[in-house]
Amino acid sequence: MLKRTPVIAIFIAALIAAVAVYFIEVPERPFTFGHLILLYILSYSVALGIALYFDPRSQETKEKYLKINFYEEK
Amino acid sequence: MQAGHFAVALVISSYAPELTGGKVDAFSIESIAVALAAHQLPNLDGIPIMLGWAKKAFHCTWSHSLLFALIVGLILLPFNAAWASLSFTSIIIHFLADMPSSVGLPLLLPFTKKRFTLNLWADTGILDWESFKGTYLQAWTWILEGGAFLFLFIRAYQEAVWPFV
Repeated sequence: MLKRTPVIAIFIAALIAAVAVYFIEVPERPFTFGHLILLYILSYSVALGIALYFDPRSQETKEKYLKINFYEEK
Repeated sequence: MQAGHFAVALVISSYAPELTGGKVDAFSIESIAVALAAHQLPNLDGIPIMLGWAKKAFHCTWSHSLLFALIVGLILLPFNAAWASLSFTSIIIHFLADMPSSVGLPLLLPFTKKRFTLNLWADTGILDWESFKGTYLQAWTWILEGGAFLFLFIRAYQEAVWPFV
Protein backbone atom coordinates (compact mmCIF):
# COMPACT_ATOMS: atom_id res chain seq x y z
CA MET A 1 0.00 0.00 0.00
CA LEU A 2 1.35 3.45 -0.91
CA LYS A 3 1.71 5.96 1.96
CA ARG A 4 -0.75 8.33 0.32
CA THR A 5 -3.54 5.71 0.11
CA PRO A 6 -4.79 5.81 3.76
CA VAL A 7 -4.48 9.62 3.71
CA ILE A 8 -6.63 9.94 0.60
CA ALA A 9 -9.12 7.58 2.26
CA ILE A 10 -9.56 10.05 5.16
CA PHE A 11 -11.08 12.60 2.78
CA ILE A 12 -13.14 10.10 0.79
CA ALA A 13 -14.54 8.74 4.09
CA ALA A 14 -15.63 12.22 5.13
CA LEU A 15 -17.45 12.59 1.82
CA ILE A 16 -19.17 9.19 2.13
CA ALA A 17 -20.20 9.90 5.74
CA ALA A 18 -21.55 13.34 4.80
CA VAL A 19 -23.60 11.88 1.93
CA ALA A 20 -24.91 9.11 4.24
CA VAL A 21 -25.99 11.65 6.87
CA TYR A 22 -27.66 13.83 4.24
CA PHE A 23 -29.74 11.00 2.78
CA ILE A 24 -30.35 8.80 5.85
CA GLU A 25 -30.74 11.03 8.89
CA VAL A 26 -34.28 11.86 9.97
CA PRO A 27 -34.61 15.29 11.68
CA GLU A 28 -36.62 13.77 14.57
CA ARG A 29 -33.83 11.25 15.28
CA PRO A 30 -30.51 13.04 14.83
CA PHE A 31 -27.27 11.07 15.01
CA THR A 32 -25.33 11.46 18.24
CA PHE A 33 -21.60 12.21 18.21
CA GLY A 34 -20.94 8.51 18.89
CA HIS A 35 -23.07 7.49 15.91
CA LEU A 36 -21.16 9.88 13.69
CA ILE A 37 -17.83 8.45 14.86
CA LEU A 38 -19.07 4.94 14.07
CA LEU A 39 -20.40 6.10 10.71
CA TYR A 40 -17.04 7.67 9.87
CA ILE A 41 -15.14 4.48 10.81
CA LEU A 42 -17.43 2.38 8.59
CA SER A 43 -17.16 4.94 5.80
CA TYR A 44 -13.40 4.80 6.14
CA SER A 45 -13.35 1.07 5.37
CA VAL A 46 -15.21 1.71 2.11
CA ALA A 47 -13.03 4.75 1.40
CA LEU A 48 -9.87 2.72 1.93
CA GLY A 49 -11.10 0.31 -0.74
CA ILE A 50 -11.76 3.17 -3.16
CA ALA A 51 -8.29 4.61 -2.47
CA LEU A 52 -6.74 1.14 -2.84
CA TYR A 53 -8.43 0.83 -6.22
CA PHE A 54 -6.10 3.56 -7.50
CA ASP A 55 -3.07 2.10 -5.67
CA PRO A 56 -0.86 0.01 -8.00
CA ARG A 57 0.34 -2.15 -5.06
CA SER A 58 -3.20 -3.42 -4.56
CA GLN A 59 -3.39 -4.48 -8.21
CA GLU A 60 0.02 -6.19 -7.87
CA THR A 61 -1.30 -8.12 -4.87
CA LYS A 62 -4.32 -9.26 -6.85
CA GLU A 63 -2.12 -10.39 -9.75
CA LYS A 64 0.21 -12.23 -7.35
CA TYR A 65 -2.64 -14.22 -5.82
CA LEU A 66 -4.25 -14.91 -9.19
CA LYS A 67 -1.17 -16.97 -10.09
CA ILE A 68 -1.61 -19.29 -7.09
CA ASN A 69 -3.94 -22.29 -7.10
CA PHE A 70 -4.78 -22.79 -3.42
CA TYR A 71 -6.79 -25.94 -4.10
CA GLU A 72 -4.06 -27.96 -5.78
CA GLU A 73 -3.01 -30.95 -3.67
CA LYS A 74 0.75 -31.24 -3.12
CA MET B 1 -15.86 -12.35 1.41
CA GLN B 2 -14.83 -13.06 5.00
CA ALA B 3 -15.88 -10.77 7.90
CA GLY B 4 -18.44 -9.13 5.64
CA HIS B 5 -20.57 -12.30 5.70
CA PHE B 6 -21.64 -11.47 9.28
CA ALA B 7 -22.78 -7.98 8.26
CA VAL B 8 -24.61 -9.36 5.23
CA ALA B 9 -26.41 -11.97 7.39
CA LEU B 10 -27.51 -9.27 9.84
CA VAL B 11 -28.76 -7.10 6.95
CA ILE B 12 -30.81 -10.09 5.72
CA SER B 13 -32.26 -10.47 9.22
CA SER B 14 -33.33 -6.83 9.06
CA TYR B 15 -35.54 -7.73 6.08
CA ALA B 16 -37.07 -10.77 7.83
CA PRO B 17 -40.64 -9.34 7.88
CA GLU B 18 -40.55 -8.79 4.10
CA LEU B 19 -39.02 -12.22 3.47
CA THR B 20 -41.38 -14.17 5.73
CA GLY B 21 -44.67 -12.36 5.20
CA GLY B 22 -44.42 -10.70 8.60
CA LYS B 23 -43.98 -13.96 10.53
CA VAL B 24 -40.50 -13.08 11.80
CA ASP B 25 -39.46 -9.68 13.17
CA ALA B 26 -36.51 -7.67 11.90
CA PHE B 27 -33.36 -8.10 13.98
CA SER B 28 -35.14 -10.56 16.29
CA ILE B 29 -33.09 -13.36 17.86
CA GLU B 30 -34.95 -15.79 15.59
CA SER B 31 -34.23 -13.87 12.38
CA ILE B 32 -30.58 -13.30 13.32
CA ALA B 33 -30.04 -16.96 14.26
CA VAL B 34 -31.67 -18.34 11.10
CA ALA B 35 -30.01 -15.82 8.75
CA LEU B 36 -26.56 -16.27 10.32
CA ALA B 37 -26.77 -20.07 10.37
CA ALA B 38 -28.05 -20.33 6.80
CA HIS B 39 -25.66 -17.69 5.50
CA GLN B 40 -22.66 -19.53 6.97
CA LEU B 41 -23.91 -22.98 5.97
CA PRO B 42 -22.15 -23.10 2.54
CA ASN B 43 -18.79 -22.44 4.22
CA LEU B 44 -19.13 -25.53 6.40
CA ASP B 45 -17.56 -27.37 3.47
CA GLY B 46 -14.29 -26.30 5.13
CA ILE B 47 -14.87 -28.78 7.98
CA PRO B 48 -14.41 -32.02 6.01
CA ILE B 49 -11.36 -30.44 4.40
CA MET B 50 -9.85 -29.58 7.81
CA LEU B 51 -10.60 -33.09 9.06
CA GLY B 52 -8.87 -34.57 6.02
CA TRP B 53 -12.04 -36.21 4.74
CA ALA B 54 -12.14 -34.15 1.55
CA LYS B 55 -9.63 -32.55 -0.81
CA LYS B 56 -9.09 -28.79 -0.79
CA ALA B 57 -10.79 -28.62 -4.17
CA PHE B 58 -14.06 -29.55 -2.42
CA HIS B 59 -14.30 -25.95 -1.14
CA CYS B 60 -16.80 -23.79 -3.04
CA THR B 61 -18.33 -26.68 -4.99
CA TRP B 62 -21.58 -28.47 -4.06
CA SER B 63 -22.33 -26.26 -1.07
CA HIS B 64 -22.09 -23.22 -3.34
CA SER B 65 -24.61 -24.41 -5.94
CA LEU B 66 -28.21 -23.34 -6.47
CA LEU B 67 -29.19 -26.98 -5.91
CA PHE B 68 -27.82 -26.78 -2.35
CA ALA B 69 -29.88 -23.64 -1.60
CA LEU B 70 -32.96 -25.33 -3.02
CA ILE B 71 -32.43 -28.53 -0.98
CA VAL B 72 -31.97 -26.57 2.28
CA GLY B 73 -35.12 -24.54 1.54
CA LEU B 74 -37.14 -27.65 0.68
CA ILE B 75 -35.97 -29.53 3.81
CA LEU B 76 -37.08 -26.64 6.04
CA LEU B 77 -40.33 -25.92 4.19
CA PRO B 78 -42.55 -28.60 5.85
CA PHE B 79 -41.36 -27.57 9.32
CA ASN B 80 -41.25 -23.78 9.09
CA ALA B 81 -42.00 -21.88 5.86
CA ALA B 82 -40.64 -18.62 7.28
CA TRP B 83 -37.30 -20.23 8.11
CA ALA B 84 -37.23 -21.88 4.67
CA SER B 85 -37.68 -18.53 2.94
CA LEU B 86 -35.14 -16.78 5.16
CA SER B 87 -32.61 -19.60 4.75
CA PHE B 88 -32.99 -19.83 0.98
CA THR B 89 -32.48 -16.07 0.64
CA SER B 90 -29.50 -16.11 3.01
CA ILE B 91 -27.76 -18.85 1.05
CA ILE B 92 -28.41 -17.18 -2.32
CA ILE B 93 -27.01 -13.91 -0.97
CA HIS B 94 -23.99 -15.83 0.37
CA PHE B 95 -23.35 -16.86 -3.24
CA LEU B 96 -23.66 -13.23 -4.42
CA ALA B 97 -21.21 -12.17 -1.70
CA ASP B 98 -18.71 -14.84 -2.82
CA MET B 99 -19.03 -14.23 -6.55
CA PRO B 100 -16.57 -11.30 -6.64
CA SER B 101 -13.81 -13.80 -5.77
CA SER B 102 -11.74 -15.15 -8.65
CA VAL B 103 -12.36 -18.75 -7.54
CA GLY B 104 -15.90 -18.56 -8.97
CA LEU B 105 -18.91 -20.63 -7.96
CA PRO B 106 -20.28 -23.67 -9.81
CA LEU B 107 -23.84 -22.43 -9.35
CA LEU B 108 -25.38 -24.81 -11.88
CA LEU B 109 -23.99 -28.08 -10.52
CA PRO B 110 -24.71 -30.89 -11.38
CA PHE B 111 -25.64 -29.68 -14.86
CA THR B 112 -22.36 -27.92 -15.54
CA LYS B 113 -19.08 -27.39 -13.67
CA LYS B 114 -18.73 -23.90 -15.14
CA ARG B 115 -17.74 -21.42 -12.42
CA PHE B 116 -19.35 -17.99 -12.32
CA THR B 117 -17.24 -15.09 -11.05
CA LEU B 118 -17.17 -11.29 -11.13
CA ASN B 119 -13.38 -11.52 -10.64
CA LEU B 120 -13.15 -8.36 -8.52
CA TRP B 121 -10.59 -9.83 -6.11
CA ALA B 122 -8.19 -12.76 -6.25
CA ASP B 123 -9.01 -15.80 -4.18
CA THR B 124 -6.52 -16.29 -1.34
CA GLY B 125 -7.32 -19.82 -0.15
CA ILE B 126 -9.07 -20.81 3.06
CA LEU B 127 -8.71 -20.58 6.82
CA ASP B 128 -5.20 -19.27 7.37
CA TRP B 129 -3.33 -16.01 7.95
CA GLU B 130 -2.17 -15.83 4.32
CA SER B 131 -5.78 -16.01 3.21
CA PHE B 132 -6.85 -13.25 5.62
CA LYS B 133 -3.94 -10.92 4.80
CA GLY B 134 -4.18 -11.42 1.05
CA THR B 135 -7.90 -10.68 1.03
CA TYR B 136 -7.56 -7.39 2.89
CA LEU B 137 -4.76 -6.08 0.68
CA GLN B 138 -7.19 -5.88 -2.23
CA ALA B 139 -9.40 -2.90 -3.03
CA TRP B 140 -12.77 -4.51 -3.72
CA THR B 141 -12.68 -6.46 -0.45
CA TRP B 142 -12.76 -3.20 1.48
CA ILE B 143 -15.34 -1.60 -0.80
CA LEU B 144 -17.82 -4.49 -0.60
CA GLU B 145 -17.22 -5.66 2.98
CA GLY B 146 -17.08 -2.08 4.25
CA GLY B 147 -20.20 -1.39 2.23
CA ALA B 148 -21.94 -4.33 3.92
CA PHE B 149 -21.16 -2.95 7.39
CA LEU B 150 -22.20 0.55 6.29
CA PHE B 151 -25.49 -0.82 4.99
CA LEU B 152 -25.97 -2.65 8.30
CA PHE B 153 -25.46 0.67 10.13
CA ILE B 154 -28.16 2.25 7.95
CA ARG B 155 -30.58 -0.64 8.50
CA ALA B 156 -30.04 -0.51 12.26
CA TYR B 157 -30.82 3.23 12.19
CA GLN B 158 -33.92 2.72 10.04
CA GLU B 159 -35.22 -0.06 12.29
CA ALA B 160 -34.25 1.88 15.44
CA VAL B 161 -32.30 -0.96 17.02
CA TRP B 162 -29.00 -0.79 18.94
CA PRO B 163 -27.06 1.51 18.85
CA PHE B 164 -29.97 3.75 17.82
CA VAL B 165 -32.48 2.94 20.60
